Amino acid sequence: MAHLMTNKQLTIDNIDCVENLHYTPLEGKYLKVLYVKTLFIYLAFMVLALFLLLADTFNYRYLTVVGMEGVLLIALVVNFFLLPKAFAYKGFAIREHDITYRSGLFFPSVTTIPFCKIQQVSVRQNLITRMFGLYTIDIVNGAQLLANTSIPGLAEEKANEIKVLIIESIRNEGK
Amino acid sequence: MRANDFSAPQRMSFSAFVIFFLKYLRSYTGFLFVLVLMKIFNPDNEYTFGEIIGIILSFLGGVLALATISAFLNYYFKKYYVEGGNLVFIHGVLQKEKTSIPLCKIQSLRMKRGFMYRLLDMRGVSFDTLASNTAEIELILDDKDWNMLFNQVEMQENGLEEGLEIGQDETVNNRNRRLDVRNVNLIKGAFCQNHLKGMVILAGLFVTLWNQLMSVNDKAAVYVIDYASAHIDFSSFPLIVLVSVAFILYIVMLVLWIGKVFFQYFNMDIQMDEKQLFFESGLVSRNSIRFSYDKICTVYVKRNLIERWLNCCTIMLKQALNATDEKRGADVKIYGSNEAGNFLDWWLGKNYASSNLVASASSGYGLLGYVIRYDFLLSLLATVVLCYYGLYTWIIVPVVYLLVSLAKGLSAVRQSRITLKEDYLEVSNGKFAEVKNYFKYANVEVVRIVATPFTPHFHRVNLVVSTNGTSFVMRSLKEQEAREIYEWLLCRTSRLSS
Repeated sequence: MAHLMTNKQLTIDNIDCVENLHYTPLEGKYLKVLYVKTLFIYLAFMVLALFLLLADTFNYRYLTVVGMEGVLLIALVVNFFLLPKAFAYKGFAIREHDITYRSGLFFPSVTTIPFCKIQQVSVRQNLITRMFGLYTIDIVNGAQLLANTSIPGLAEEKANEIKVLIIESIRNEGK
Repeated sequence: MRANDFSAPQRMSFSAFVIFFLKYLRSYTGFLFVLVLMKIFNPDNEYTFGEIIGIILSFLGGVLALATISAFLNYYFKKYYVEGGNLVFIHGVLQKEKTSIPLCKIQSLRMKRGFMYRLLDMRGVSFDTLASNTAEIELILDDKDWNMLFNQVEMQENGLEEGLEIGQDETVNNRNRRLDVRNVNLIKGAFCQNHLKGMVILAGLFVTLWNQLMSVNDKAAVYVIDYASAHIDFSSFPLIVLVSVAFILYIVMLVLWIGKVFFQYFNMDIQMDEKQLFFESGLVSRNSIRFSYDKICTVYVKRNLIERWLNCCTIMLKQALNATDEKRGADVKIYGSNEAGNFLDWWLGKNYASSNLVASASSGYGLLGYVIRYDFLLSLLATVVLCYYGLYTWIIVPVVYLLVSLAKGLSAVRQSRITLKEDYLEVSNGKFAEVKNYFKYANVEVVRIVATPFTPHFHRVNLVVSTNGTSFVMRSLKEQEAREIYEWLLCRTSRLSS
C-alpha cells in the first residue's frame, strides 16, 4: 500500500513548543544518588589532598592541608544545598516526533532529539544507581556534537517503557 | 582468465603484489640501514671493504626475502568478492577474518594513486562507511576491476540490480559537469590562506632562535644587543637589512606552504553529475574521492579579506565523519576558485538563492565577550606584569593586542547569524573572514538551547545545532528568536523523515 506523505503548512502557533512542555521529573531517589556521587567525588579530593602530608620538605604542609580540606568541606556543603535545585530542574518530555531532556543549574539546557535521528537506545546501571534501583537511558544519534544524551534517575519500569516507546517511534518514523 | 564480476572470491591482480612488495621493502629499508651501520661500525670488529660489501649484500638479500614473504602473505591471503549486495573481504593468515560491507552503506570511495600505483596502472581504493570504530579496507585494483566494482556500488545505491549488464564506461564517464579549477587559482587560493600561517611560522622561528640564544647563557641576549649597539656605528648595519631578511624568510615560508598545497591539489579535477561528485588532485600522488550527493552534510564557503579582494573563495564539502575520516580528512577543499554558486546550485538546487526566508537570528554582544575572553585576560595579565616592573611604555603592546581582539569580536558579532530558508539553513560564523555554512534540514541530528547566568537579564541564549558531520554553536541569540528557530528545526527534521 502506498504511504501517503502529508505536507501541511506549519506555523509556529500550531506547534507544541518545547518551552511549554510539561517535563516529567526524575525519580525522587535520584536525588540521593546525586548526594552519594557528590560525596564520593569530594571524599576522593579530600583523600588526595592528604598526600601533601608526605612532602616532608614542605614546611607549611599541615596548614595547607587543613586549608584545602576546609575549602573542600565548604564546597561540599554548598554543593549539597544546590543539588535539590539542580535535581528539580532535570526532566524529560516526549512529543510525537522527538524526546527532550532538560538539565543544568547555572547553564540550564534543553536538548531535543528527533526520533528519526536516533541510532541506538540502551538502558544501564552503575554501582550507585543499582543500590537505589534506578536506571539511565542512553540515546545515541549520529551527531558530531551531543551524540549521546543520557536520561538518568528512572525506575526500571519507566526506563523500559521509554525504551520501548522510543524504539516503536523510530520504527514508525522510518515507515 | 580472471573473472571480474566479483561473484566468486578472487585475489587482487599481480601488480598488487608488486605494490605490496615495494611497500614492505620501503618499510624494512630503515631497519636494514640501522643494522648495517651497527654491524660495520662495531668497534669490536674491523672489516675490509670486500667484507663490508658482503655484509651489505647479505642484509639486502635478507630484507628482499622478508619483503617478498610479507608481500606474498599479504597478497595471497587476501580475497574479495560481492555477495548479496555486500562487499566481502577475506583476510588473515593464521586467523581468517571475513568482513562484509553492505555496498549501499559505503559512504565514500577514496582512491589513492601514488607514484608506484601510477607506474603499474593501479589504484588503492578505500571504502568508508559511517561505522565509527571500523578500520578501513584498502583494495589495490587495476582500472578494469575498479570500474566494475564502482559500477556495482553505484547500482546498489540506485537499487538497479538488473543494471549489472551496463558497461563500465557508461557509468564512470557519465559525468554531466566538469568544473575548471586552474592551477593558477590554486596558487592564488593558497596565497590567500597561508599568509597567517607564514607569519605564525616566522614568529615561531624567532621565538625558537630567542630561546636558543637564552639557553646559551642568561645574559646572551644582552651581550648580542650590546655587541650590536657597539658596532652599529662602525658597520652602519642598516635596519632595512634586518627587515629584508625577515621578509625573505617570510616569503620562503609562504612559498613552502603554497608548495604543499600545490603538491596536494595540483591539476584538480572535479566532476559532478546529478547524484555524485568526483574529485581528483595531486602532483606526484593522485588522490581522488567520490561520494554521493546526499552524503555531503555541509557546504562551507569562506572569504577572507584577501580572497574578497581577489574575488575568490575557499569551498569545503564536508561529509559525515567516521573514525578513519578524522585521521585522514575526507573533506574536499577547493582553493582560490569562485565556484561556490555552482556547488550550491548542484547541492541545494538551482533555485536555492530564491528560497523563501523562514526565520533568522543574529548574535548579540554576548558573542563579543565570548570571543575576547582569553585575549582580555591575557592583556590584563601582561599589563599587570608590565606595571609591576615599571615598563609603562610597553603597555601599548597589550592595549594594541586587545584592540585587535575587540575588532575581531565586533566583526564576529556583525557576521554571526543563523538563517532558515524554506529548503536549507545558512549559518554565518566567521570572525575577520566571511564564513557561510549551508546545510539541509535532513542533516540536523540534534538541537540544544542553553541559557547562561546572564539570560534572565539580557534574554539571550545559545543555540547548538549538530549535524552528522559538523556542529554549530550560535551564541547570544535573542531568546524568542532562538526558541522559534529551535522549534522550526525540529519540525522540519521530523517532517522530512515522515
